[in-house]
Amino acid sequence: MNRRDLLKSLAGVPFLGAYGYMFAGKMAAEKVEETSAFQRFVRSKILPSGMEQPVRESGGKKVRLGLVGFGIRGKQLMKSLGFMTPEDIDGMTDNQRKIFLEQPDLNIEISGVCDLYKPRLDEASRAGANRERKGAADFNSRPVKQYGKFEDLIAAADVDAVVIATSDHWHGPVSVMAAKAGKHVYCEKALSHSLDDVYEVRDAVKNNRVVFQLGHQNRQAESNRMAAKVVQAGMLGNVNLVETTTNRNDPNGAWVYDIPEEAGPHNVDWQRFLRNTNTPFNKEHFFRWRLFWDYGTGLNGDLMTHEYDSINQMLNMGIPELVTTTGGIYHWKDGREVPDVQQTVLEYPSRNFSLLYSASLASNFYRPKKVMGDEASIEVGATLKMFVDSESQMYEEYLTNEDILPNQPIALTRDMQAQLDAISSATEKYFASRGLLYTSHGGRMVDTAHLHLSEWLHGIRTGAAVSCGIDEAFEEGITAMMATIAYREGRVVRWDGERVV
Amino acid sequence: METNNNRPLLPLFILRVAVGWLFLHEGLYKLFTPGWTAQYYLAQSEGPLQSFFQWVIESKILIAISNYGVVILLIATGLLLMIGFLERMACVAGMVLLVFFYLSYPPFGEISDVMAEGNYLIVDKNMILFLVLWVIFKLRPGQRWGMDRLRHGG
Repeated sequence: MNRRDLLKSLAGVPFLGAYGYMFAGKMAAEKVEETSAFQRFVRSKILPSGMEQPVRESGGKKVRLGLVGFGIRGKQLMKSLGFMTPEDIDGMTDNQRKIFLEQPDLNIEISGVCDLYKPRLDEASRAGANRERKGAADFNSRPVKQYGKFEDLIAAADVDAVVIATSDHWHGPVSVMAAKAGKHVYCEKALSHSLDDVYEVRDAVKNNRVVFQLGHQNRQAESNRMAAKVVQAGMLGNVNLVETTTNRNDPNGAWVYDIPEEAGPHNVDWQRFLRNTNTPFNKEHFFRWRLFWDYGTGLNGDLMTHEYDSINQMLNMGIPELVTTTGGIYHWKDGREVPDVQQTVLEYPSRNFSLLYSASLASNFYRPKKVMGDEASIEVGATLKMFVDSESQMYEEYLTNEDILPNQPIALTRDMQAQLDAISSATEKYFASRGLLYTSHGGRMVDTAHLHLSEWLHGIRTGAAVSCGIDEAFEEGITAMMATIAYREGRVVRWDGERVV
Repeated sequence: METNNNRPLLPLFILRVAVGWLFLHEGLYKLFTPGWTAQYYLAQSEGPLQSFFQWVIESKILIAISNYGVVILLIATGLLLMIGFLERMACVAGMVLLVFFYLSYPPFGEISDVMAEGNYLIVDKNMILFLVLWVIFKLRPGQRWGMDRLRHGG
């Protein structure tokens, strides 16, 4: 072997040396940066979910929608769809209007609206006609078609899909009828007001293959999506306890809504509001239906469902094996039937964890969601914080190196909502703190309900899966009903895998 | 094949060193990142190997094997490619790894929502690297520029 052979055979070695030198330098530099090792570890497991929200094309066929129910939530959903009355657009602050006008066009048309209270029906049909998002000065469109009966709206040939924001006791029947007519359904939570409805909606949706989305817009929130990744990546170790809450303390948050002076039997279709009951006309029942068992399920359907679904988004745990609910009417002694302080415990023995829901409608003390594992825990609010357990083995090295401090918060997402004046009322602030109002999308504030509706429309156009479809809705519906039955019957309620017992 | 002339093999030698560098760094970086695991990568996979990966991540032992396996294979492949020793074996090892990477997140035109840093259809960077290793396997630049020259006696 000559010298030339030797040199050529070792030609790669200098490169290896150069690499080794540079790699050592790089590692040394990274050691200097505080907490960088832990940050790198986190980054190696999760990516900011903002990057991965799929682009949803609103191209293709225009989808023609019908809206059933233009109360508080129906109005908000119309706004998320891009439709408001000219008066409401004029009434917004500049910042609110800017966000609304920047909201992408979903390529939809409101073909008809339905409500049982005539002034709201008139308002809805004006909002539905305001395609150009104009103020009162420029608005001159003809109001869209009004329906007094949801059956007629569903049967209309120019309605492809319906958005349901009625009182809870009508969610089931309207969804079932729409699905059977082959119309796609976006239904507000809670899925239903009775156990039978839960099964009927599921069967109707599955048999007729319509696209169904339940209104849990938390599925779109950055902090929730990131939390789901953290949990699914095993970063918390074994999750053994989850604590979810509701804290509100004002009449609106306790569902004591305004009752319009001018409302009466002449402009409220009371008979169609009733389902299986025969109550004489009662304005309070109509406008504050959330307070009464005949129409709603109180905290269970209204607020626990959001908390449950966001944990289901993280853990995919489905229906609990055992549920208890206790509580009472401890503050709002206004003739309501549903409790204002409540504790619901959902047990998952085969998955070795408990989910606690604890609510007060008479205290604003802030309690974010907590998901607790033996290695670390997270706190999920408008932002996501992680706390590494002092007894952690997985993170032992980082704790020893003092890369991180045990049980101290580590922020995993940024809070964009803190700087926003678009959120004004106490109830809105509550929803914002649960990640239910806005999320960041490519560095911009976006209405989560808009993203949720947009995902549903994308599903209608392309057949793509939605994030809170009929299976998730079924789990939510059964779980919420179990909690309601547990409270009303004062007993432990069980799920045997197919039936509630 | 033109083996008497060194010139056509020089770019191939540089290419081989570069690919080796890439593999070596991927491996060493994982090795030096405390707590690194392939678990999340596997858990999020939606390709044809999804059910296989789900089976793997259910077992602590299999996860440990995949973690060490990936790191050791990356480092060994990288080192061998850089110095040009046993380069055909290194190429095969690298190609096997790349097939797994490719099938974990196959660019088959669906809206891919995780782990992707670009947009690809059928051909992605893993496939290009695979083809590069195939070319190196076939043309064997190490017989001239690399330690394989010693094995083959120049």
